[in-house]
Amino acid sequence: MSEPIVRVRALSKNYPRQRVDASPWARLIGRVWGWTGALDDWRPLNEGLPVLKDVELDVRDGEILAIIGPSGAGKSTLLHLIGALDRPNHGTILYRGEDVTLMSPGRLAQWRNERVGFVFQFYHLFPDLTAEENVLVPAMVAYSVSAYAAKRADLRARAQHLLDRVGLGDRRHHHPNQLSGGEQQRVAIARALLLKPALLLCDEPTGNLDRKTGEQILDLLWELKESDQQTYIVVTHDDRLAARADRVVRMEDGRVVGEETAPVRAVIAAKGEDAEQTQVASVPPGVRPPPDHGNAGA
Amino acid sequence: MYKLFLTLRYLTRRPLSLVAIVALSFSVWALVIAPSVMNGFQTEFHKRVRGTLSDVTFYGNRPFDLPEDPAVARALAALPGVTAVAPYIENPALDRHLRKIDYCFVRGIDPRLEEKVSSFADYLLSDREMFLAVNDYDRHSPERKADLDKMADTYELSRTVDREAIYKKLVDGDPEDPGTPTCLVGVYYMIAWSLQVGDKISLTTARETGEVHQDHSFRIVGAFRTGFSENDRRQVITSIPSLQGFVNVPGRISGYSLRVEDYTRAKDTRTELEAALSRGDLGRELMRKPLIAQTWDERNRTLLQAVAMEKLLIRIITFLIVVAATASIFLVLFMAVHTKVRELGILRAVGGTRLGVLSLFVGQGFAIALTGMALGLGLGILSSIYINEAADLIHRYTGWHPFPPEVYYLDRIPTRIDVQENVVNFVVTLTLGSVAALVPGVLAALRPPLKSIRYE
Ligand SMILES: Nc1ncnc2c1ncn2[C@@H]1O[C@H](COP(=O)(O)OP(=O)(O)O)[C@@H](O)[C@H]1O
Ligand SMILES: [Mg+2]
Repeated sequence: MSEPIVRVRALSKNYPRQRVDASPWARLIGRVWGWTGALDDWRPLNEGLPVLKDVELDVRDGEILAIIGPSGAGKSTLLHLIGALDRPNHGTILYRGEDVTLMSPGRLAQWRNERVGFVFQFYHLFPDLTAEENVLVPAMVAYSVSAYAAKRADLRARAQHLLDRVGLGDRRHHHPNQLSGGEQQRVAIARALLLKPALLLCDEPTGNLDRKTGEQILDLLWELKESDQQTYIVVTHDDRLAARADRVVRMEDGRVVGEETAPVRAVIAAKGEDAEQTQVASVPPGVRPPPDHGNAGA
Repeated sequence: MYKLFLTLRYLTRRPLSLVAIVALSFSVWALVIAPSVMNGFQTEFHKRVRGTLSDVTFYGNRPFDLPEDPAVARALAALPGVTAVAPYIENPALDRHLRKIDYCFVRGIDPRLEEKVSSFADYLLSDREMFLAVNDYDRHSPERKADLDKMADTYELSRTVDREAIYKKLVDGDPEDPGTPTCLVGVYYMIAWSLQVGDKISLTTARETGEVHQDHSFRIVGAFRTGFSENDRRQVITSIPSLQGFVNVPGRISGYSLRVEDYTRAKDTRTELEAALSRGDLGRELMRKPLIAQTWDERNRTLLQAVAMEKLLIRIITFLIVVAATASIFLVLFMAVHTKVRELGILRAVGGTRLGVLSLFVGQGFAIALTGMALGLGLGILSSIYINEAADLIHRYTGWHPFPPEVYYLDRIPTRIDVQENVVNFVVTLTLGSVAALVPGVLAALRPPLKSIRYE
């Protein structure tokens, strides 16, 4: 097995929680600073709420890793830390040996732009842009005006290709409010894949969609994966998704508590494509989802 | 690339930014038009004040205190910088018209000398101008104007002023009515009493000694328009001997008008004059008298100061309006930050930097300021060019004068666009707009991307 693409070591994250005994002034200051993200756990104002506790995780190059666990387990937090959208309190996250927590803001922005794609539960498209423009946003960020103009034809062809692949080739001039949830998520996937990122981070990509649409989105994700070139980390509490992953990691209460590998896939292969059956039969006891799934992010 | 693209997209897709643009362009419009009118007003005012007054006036504290002495005039003309000297005499009078009585100021001059120290000659009206002015030509509709023009043509009213003829009548009397003193009156005086050339007016005057001289007739031989409505309404001009005879002060005058090479240096000439006076260069008699030398701006200090003050106030007020308008940029962008939090988070997630987010907002502020500025500037320049046409239109359709000549001493609204002033306005507004965008921009940039992404 090759070198892991992402190596998470002793990762801890505390979220600030305002002290109940803080003075009004301290609360005000705490709120202002909390808003800007600084001083997250400045003692007099906030006390830390541990969300991730010494997480250790290796993500292999080219695999699809599913992270499952009950709501509030810290899955999203871990994903955001890996994508460096947030900073940990302790620990390191190595991307091909480089610590993302130590990258300069400029380097980080470039790294996210070139290497990482995000797909969120709530799609997060730009409402003022058309589907095609939304897909092209990462390229707009990547290139200067002149470079973009030079590459325009290629980029539009790539966007068109991706939109065709996600089945929205004829909807490229539509705005997000003219698209259904599933269609918006497909645009978001096309956007995440535009610059062929090495790492695709998906946070409950199907969490907000009905079963059937969710299924389609998953098919699409798997279909679009460019074999060993890309690594997917998919947070979910959708068993069907987990069942199709190369590897499943379970989180509970801020810790990685268990790991399941390839057998899941074998079971699916053996049982055929019937979704209901797959769910019941394929998921090993250790990865059975908690009963409260469905209200994600609550 | 995305900054430019998103800036343009947000501006064109957000009606709110249009509101900011409109607010800004209106305030910039005010910022251009108001000072330009004030500038024009001030310039015009200065010109007219100088035109009617001569650069330096030298007069006695008591009426008729100076002798009509060619030696004094020569001595004054010899002062450095002085290019022309003209004597004058003046006294207030009452004028009687049928059953009404009013006051006026009678000024005796030597027209051939006076035209060298003030713009007196330029103010004389041709027959045609007089006809049109009396019929209030400038305030009429195009059709009525055409009618008046045609009437003037049929009467064959001359378009040129025969100054020499007027001067001759003023000094030597009108051959049609020999023996009666002659005078010139202002257009508003003519209009007010329905007079025309050839009519007689009846004046009564008094002296400081108590003598009263009643009901002297003066024959009108011409009219003038200085553009100063107070002058055009109340000034009667006659020759020096006529007024001396009227008031009964033979050989006395009120003072001298001086023209100097450079009117901005009129003060130097005044100082020279005072020095010459105390040295006795103007004669022993004058040395002992309380005589006063004043420059044109000193004689009208309060008036000129009032205008300058008004200009300053207008400048401050319009500037405050612009500040208020740039505050609308702040509000619009502040709201944009709140409605766009999620997009900003995504922008960061796909590789946008804090600086990029900041420049997105500053760019929007700049673009709003620039468009608002350009629109306002264009509008302001256009309307200061066409302001009189606009005022006439308003007058025609509403009957209301936005700029009544009686109040402002001026017939037309003068405007002067000060380029330097507007460049300053331009830079200041753009800076203000960008600064107004800076605060929301910084807030947006400081916002951690996660705050925006995490929840729906
Ligand atoms: N900004 C925040 N401030 C305080 N607590 C937070 C914040 N974000 C998340 N949390 C808490 O962190 C925990 C983990 O959240 P999350 O990673 O979203 O869980 P999951 O994605 O597994 O459902 C939750 O208990 C949540 O309440
Ligand atoms: Mg979550």
